[in-house]
Amino acid sequence: MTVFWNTWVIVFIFIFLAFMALVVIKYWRTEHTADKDKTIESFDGIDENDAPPPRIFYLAYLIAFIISAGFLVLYPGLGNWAGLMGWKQIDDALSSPTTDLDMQIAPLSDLSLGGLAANPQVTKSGELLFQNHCAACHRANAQGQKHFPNLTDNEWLYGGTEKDIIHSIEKGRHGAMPGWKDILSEDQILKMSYYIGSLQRRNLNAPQVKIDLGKEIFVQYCSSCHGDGTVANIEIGAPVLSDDIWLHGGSIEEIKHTIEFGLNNLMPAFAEQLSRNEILAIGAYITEQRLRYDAKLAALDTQSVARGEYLANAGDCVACHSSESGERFAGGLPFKTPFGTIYSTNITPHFSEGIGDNDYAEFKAALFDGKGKHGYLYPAMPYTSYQYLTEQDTQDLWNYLQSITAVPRQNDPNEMMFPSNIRQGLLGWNLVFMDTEPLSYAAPEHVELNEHELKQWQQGKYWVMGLGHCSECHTPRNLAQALIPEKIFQGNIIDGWNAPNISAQELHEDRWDLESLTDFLHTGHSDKGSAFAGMADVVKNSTSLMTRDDIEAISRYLLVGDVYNTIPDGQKQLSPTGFVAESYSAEQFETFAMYADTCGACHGEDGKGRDPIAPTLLNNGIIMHSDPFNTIAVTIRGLAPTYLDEERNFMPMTSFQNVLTDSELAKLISFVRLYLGGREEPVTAAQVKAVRQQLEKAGFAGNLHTTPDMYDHKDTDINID
Amino acid sequence: MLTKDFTHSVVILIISTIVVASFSVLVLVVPNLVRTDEIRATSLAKPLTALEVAGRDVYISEGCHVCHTQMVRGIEPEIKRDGRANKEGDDIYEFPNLWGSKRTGPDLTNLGRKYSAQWQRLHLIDPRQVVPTSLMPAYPWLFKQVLSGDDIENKMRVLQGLGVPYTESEIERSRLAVKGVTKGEALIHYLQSLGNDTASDQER
Repeated sequence: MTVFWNTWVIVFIFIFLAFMALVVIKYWRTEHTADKDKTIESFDGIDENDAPPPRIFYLAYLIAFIISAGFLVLYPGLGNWAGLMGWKQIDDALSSPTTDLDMQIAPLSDLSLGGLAANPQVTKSGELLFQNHCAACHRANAQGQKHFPNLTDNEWLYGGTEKDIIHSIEKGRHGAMPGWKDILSEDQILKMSYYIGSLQRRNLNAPQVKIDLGKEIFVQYCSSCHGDGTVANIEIGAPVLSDDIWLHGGSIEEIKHTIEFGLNNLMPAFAEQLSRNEILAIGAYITEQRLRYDAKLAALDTQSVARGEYLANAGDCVACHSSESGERFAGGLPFKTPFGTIYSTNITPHFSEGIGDNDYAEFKAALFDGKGKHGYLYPAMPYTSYQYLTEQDTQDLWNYLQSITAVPRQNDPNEMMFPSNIRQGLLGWNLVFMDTEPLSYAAPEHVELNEHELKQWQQGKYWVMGLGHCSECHTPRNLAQALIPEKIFQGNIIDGWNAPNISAQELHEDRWDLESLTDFLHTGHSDKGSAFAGMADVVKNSTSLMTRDDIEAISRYLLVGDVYNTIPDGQKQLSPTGFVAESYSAEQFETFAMYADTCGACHGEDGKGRDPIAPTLLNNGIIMHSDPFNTIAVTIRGLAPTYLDEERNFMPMTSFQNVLTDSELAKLISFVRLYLGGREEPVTAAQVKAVRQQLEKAGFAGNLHTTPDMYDHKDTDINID
Repeated sequence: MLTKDFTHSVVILIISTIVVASFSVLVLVVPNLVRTDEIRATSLAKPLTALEVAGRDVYISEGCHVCHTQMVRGIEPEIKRDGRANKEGDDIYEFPNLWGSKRTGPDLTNLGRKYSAQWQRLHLIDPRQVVPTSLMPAYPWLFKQVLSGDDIENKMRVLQGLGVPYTESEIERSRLAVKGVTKGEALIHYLQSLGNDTASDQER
């Protein structure tokens, strides 16, 4: 400040102080004495007497003036006067040696990130800096989120040496990928997405031919940066596409979006915002987090993890905990219940999106008691079955789930209606409907089993009642959506299909035997027909990945039966004859001609199926099944290929929704069931009509067309009452 | 001497209050008014571009300044958290300043380039998507509403009149720079500019 303004400020401060002092002194002089007996005024008989202000007021003013004077002498306040104390504002900055990073780092000789990561003081400072500057993108524990990479997993887009990491923080990174929307057709992009999706193991509903075509397009357009998809290019930050790390989302939809619109991903440069030591401390914190993650993985017993993976397959966790063609275990599959829609959750070890914040006890509580960390789980999670797991298997499953890649996919909010959206209510559900009795492995009373058979039966019971959770689909539910134990395995309608009756009685009647049932579960194909719809997914994700011995045990248990699930004495078995002379007789001929025009075109005039076009109808478990629902439904809905087995992909089945009337279908199905299924009771037009109406209402009817589109659009938005 | 004082008359009370208050103006404000040129000469502030001006108006209209300050005080914890402390020359082109007085959310003085524009976009559309514990409201409509740019020239002229050195060419181009941009994009341009002009001065 110039001398003039300096003087100006000082003069006015003195004038002000003097003015204030004069005011106080004036009142001191006039009012410090008073006669308290003198009445000044009287209000309605109340007298106001005179009295001096308390002396302490004046004393306080005096002290304040002395302090002000002292302050102005000792501290800056009068213009440019610095004060006798030599105080500066910056000195009041509350810093102390323990929080000063520079002082923490100064005495250290090893300034490598690895060295600094071993220093808890530095990593603590680094953590605080990380929370402030990095966590909004990379999350509080550096585990990353969608679009913002995980820094703890040893996978680096731009290289993971210390130099690379420091460079990334100081100078930032800019990853760009051009969009292909205007260059490639939507179909080409979709095929390419299927190819990229096929590079990891996942539940992909696409035929091999599309994947192969996608690969050609990929090689043509993408290989200059991505190679064949299995190599990284750290020069430009191109990631490996064949692992299960998906920075921008790994569902087919998200991959497609990325290809269409490209990427423009920026890591800001922090050299101007942070000091060198601060950057080192952040690097040290990241390194420490990474080493901790490595140690966690290394501590997992590999055998236990391998067994856990087998168990996760047996429990078919991935089928529900992955969205359609989505990332494994990342959740997002909708379940439409009468009470609203719930979505399966992310069970990867991501800390904030998955179950990374759970410990073993919490995991077990969820798996066994349906007690999630954030409230009771809906019984769509089959904890009523999983509770029968052994302790060792639970540990193994937990170890496996900790070993898989953390996927930052966020859970979808459930859309449950009141009052079922109040999770406390599920406690009541559990009290009423959950049977917490341990599973009995005592030999069944209704049959004699030899030692080997009994062992198989017990093992089968463990799989079926526990991880297999077969009853969750195959047992009818009551109004509260709880399984009815007395009706175990008697079938239930799910997604517009009948999860068939698989009680011992039905299986016996329909002539399933150990071999055919084991074939069916283990490969999806058997001489009694092939798996389709939901069961095809079960075979693909679960039973085909189990050992044949275990599957045989499952078949044994199902065929033998158990409590509430016995074969009545004298139970007849069906014996389909196939088409005989009578089928071709004059009065039947019209129906047979209809059969030959419709079913017979693919399934063969003899109904024995034609590889690789269509499976057998003769002896087919669905044709022989007591409830004709699926036979009717398949004619109305048609059937998409299952892609279960590259060698044996049956053709899609066309829908006859707009081709055959109720009475035609009734006649045709009765005919097929009689000769190819051995079922004598005819199907009526009213039955067909009821099924057709139910499927139409739910949006399933005739949704399959034999155009190329059929591969691309699976029934995603359907609703069954 | 006066026979009456401020305990007896409202008029005297008002006059004496003004006199006392004017001491603060005389001591704290008047000397700095005449220092404007000096402050300008040493200021690192750069005028906002037209798009950033439009974004700043979105910032004000959405009430961002009600929960976010733009004033880092010169004390260590604040500097550690929010970066370089404000200096008197930083806000010479700010009309009005957006220092704010309430920190429900973090200080934004040095926000620019701390996050990528993509993060800002995700965060404005749904803060919980990127920061699970955030309590900031979501502003999805900002990316649907498009700016017309019709009044940006007038705004630039007013700022020019207040002393922001915009050239005629800048004002002329301003409408085309703003037209068709969504409110959210303009806001992100503004947010990404915060603290950039002073980034070279990291002396603490």
